[in-house]
Amino acid sequence: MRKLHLALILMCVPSVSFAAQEHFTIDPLHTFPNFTVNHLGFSTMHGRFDKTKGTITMDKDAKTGSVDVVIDASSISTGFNKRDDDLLAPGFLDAVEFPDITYKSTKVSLNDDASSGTVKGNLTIKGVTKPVTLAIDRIHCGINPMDPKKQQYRCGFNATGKIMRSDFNVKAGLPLIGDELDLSFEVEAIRD
Amino acid sequence: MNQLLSDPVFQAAIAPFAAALIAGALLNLAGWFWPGLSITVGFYISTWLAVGLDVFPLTSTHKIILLGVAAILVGIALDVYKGPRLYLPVLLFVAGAAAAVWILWPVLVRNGGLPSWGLGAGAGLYAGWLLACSAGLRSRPLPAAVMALALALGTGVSAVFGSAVLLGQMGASMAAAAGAYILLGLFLPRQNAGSILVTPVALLCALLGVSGVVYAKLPWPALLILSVIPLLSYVPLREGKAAWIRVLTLMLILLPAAGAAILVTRHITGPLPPL
Repeated sequence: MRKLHLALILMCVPSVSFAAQEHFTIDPLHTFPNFTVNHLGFSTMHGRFDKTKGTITMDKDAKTGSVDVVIDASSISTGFNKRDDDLLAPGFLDAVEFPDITYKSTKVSLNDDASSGTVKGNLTIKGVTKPVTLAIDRIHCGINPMDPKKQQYRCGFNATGKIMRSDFNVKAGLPLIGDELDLSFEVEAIRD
Repeated sequence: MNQLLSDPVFQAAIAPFAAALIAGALLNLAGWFWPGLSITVGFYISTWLAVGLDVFPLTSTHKIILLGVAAILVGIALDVYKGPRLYLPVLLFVAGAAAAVWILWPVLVRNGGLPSWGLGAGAGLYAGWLLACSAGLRSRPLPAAVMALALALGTGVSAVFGSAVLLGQMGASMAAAAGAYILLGLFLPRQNAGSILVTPVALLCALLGVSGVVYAKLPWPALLILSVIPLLSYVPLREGKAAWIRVLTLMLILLPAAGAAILVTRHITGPLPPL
């Protein structure tokens, strides 16, 4: 009888931890990587990428998870088409040769109440991969109130970080156009 | 000082012009075909200031930097070579085409299909043509230098208008350096341009052009117009005329460069691309 109990407990352990890990698909309509960069010392220019896809897993009990994001480099938008064309060309993003910007987490740490945390991962731009750490805040999960069936469960959060574009071989216009880019992501993901 | 070095005008025009002028004067003392190297010296100084001279990872721009050096070595080998030259244009054509295809290879493989490979074939034809057609100018220093000026200027300006600022800057730097070479030629005695001049200049211009088409917004008909420049450089010049008169005659070669730039500006609507 004891053996039976032990077997039942052991069978439950993996299923409990499996249940704690939730899988999400990024909602591209509510997920935008944004950046700001100094423009010739005069102002701070804002830009964003309009197409992002990827997956997220989150285990609130274990305070961990994973992030795997692919950004379409050609979807850059700075509010001026000619400038966007320049940014897509060699010297900047070289988007024809390197169509994807990717970020893959290596370690996700959530704080005690799972409302914030940090993501360590590898960012790849123009074929150059460098470690980048993002600070996560305002993690909020729940049923989407706009869903007519009140069934869609989603999580959202903000992420911020910094990179030096020269680290990723994006060197045109340096140093007149700033090297340091402030990154901020608004992310929403729907539970699978 | 840092501000001056990072100024695009300084990088694309002043620095390569000054570098080519100094290099040309010094290399003239060395004799042989060495002064022809001054144009690519200007190109590499400008590229170094703009984005550095890294060659890894092997992006299209880094491949251009690498192939420019290879073309210099080929040029030197061709100038040293004393044997029959009958098949050299064919070999140069194949080498130029292969270089262009290598630059575009990741895109050609990823996109696949007839349009993609057609683009690759067109790029190969353009690079092969420029390299093979300009090879005969090695023994005609003035036409070779004006060809370099026109081809580089046309490629550079067209690329800037075609939203490929970096490629345009690289092309413009060769034009500035060619200007310095022509200026020196008015005052210093010179033997021949040599393959050391025409081979790298033709290849670099070709690669900048095809990269502008594939990786930016440079319309391909602009390359069609630019492709007549080496041919026009064979216009016969009357010997005995003053050098400045011959230079002026050769400036007609600049017309296709202007034509290509106008075509690009008409193709692209809206204001010029800002930094």
